[in-house]
Amino acid sequence: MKIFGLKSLSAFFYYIFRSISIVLLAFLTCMEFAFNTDRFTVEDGRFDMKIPLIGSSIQVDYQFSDILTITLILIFGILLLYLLSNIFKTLKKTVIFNKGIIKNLKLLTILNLIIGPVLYFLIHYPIMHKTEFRNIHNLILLIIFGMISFFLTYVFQKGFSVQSENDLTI
Amino acid sequence: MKNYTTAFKFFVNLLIFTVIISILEKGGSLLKYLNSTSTIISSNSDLILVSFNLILLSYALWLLIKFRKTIYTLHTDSVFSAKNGFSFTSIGRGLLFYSAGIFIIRVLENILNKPAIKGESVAYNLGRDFGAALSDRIPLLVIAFFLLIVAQLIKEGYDLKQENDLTI
Repeated sequence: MKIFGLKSLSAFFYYIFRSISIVLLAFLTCMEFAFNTDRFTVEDGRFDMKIPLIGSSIQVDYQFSDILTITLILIFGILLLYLLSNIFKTLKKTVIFNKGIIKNLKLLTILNLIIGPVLYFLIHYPIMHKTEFRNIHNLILLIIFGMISFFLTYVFQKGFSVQSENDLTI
Repeated sequence: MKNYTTAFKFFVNLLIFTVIISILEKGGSLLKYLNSTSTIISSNSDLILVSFNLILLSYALWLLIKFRKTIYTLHTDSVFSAKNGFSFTSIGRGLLFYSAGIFIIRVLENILNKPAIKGESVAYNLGRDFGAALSDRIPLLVIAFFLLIVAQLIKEGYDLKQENDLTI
């Protein structure tokens, strides 16, 4: 199967990532709207919130720290998936090496190598007051993906310079 | 260039270190099983699974060493070369095969060792085992896919570069 181009794996991943990011954004908006308009019930210290269209509900401990953690993780996830979908959208085009993809890859690197770890420590210590490191693998994965996107940025920068040189040649 | 590859080198070296630790751990349990009759590993099927696991880990180590060599030559050679394209493709495919192999082993381990949930159907328990094994493999599958993307990019870049070099 083709990796780049119109009917390729990149196109497939673009639709997948963009759809998930839209669904997550809708979920976050719905959750924040419910909190701001008191459209939820609290039972035994846990809030119960109905999810529209699906019919099911979410139940989490009714604590500011839990709600803030969920919100921050959702925002991070939406940004990550949106950037990934943008990258795959560019890979669908005929000219792969372009400035748009380099910009998105740089943002993805910053998100994985700086914002992700900062968010991890922020959630771990000041917000959730955790003392153990049971979910450290998430941080390691973020760093690994950050390094891969960092390397990809370099490959695209090199490719872009070759492409520009080629386009200038008559 | 050096900044870009240094981070990648660190990452590959870290992966090699973790794979070596895993090999030693699996090798240790295999040796203990072979040397004593006490049941560290419960049955022969487990022995076969540990052996296959060890083989797959050795394969992963070989792939990573190959990858390390490719990364270390990146700052001396041009990135867009046929050799680099071939290396990245073979490593990406190798990681896909490794993920598939480990996935099968994890499913079998779960079926053999995890107790089935009472009152639930065989399909439910099988689905749980498949789901648990697949969720562990997703990061490696994503890395393998990204390596295949890099390989394809290198090939595209190589074609462009050749076209460029031929132009007077």
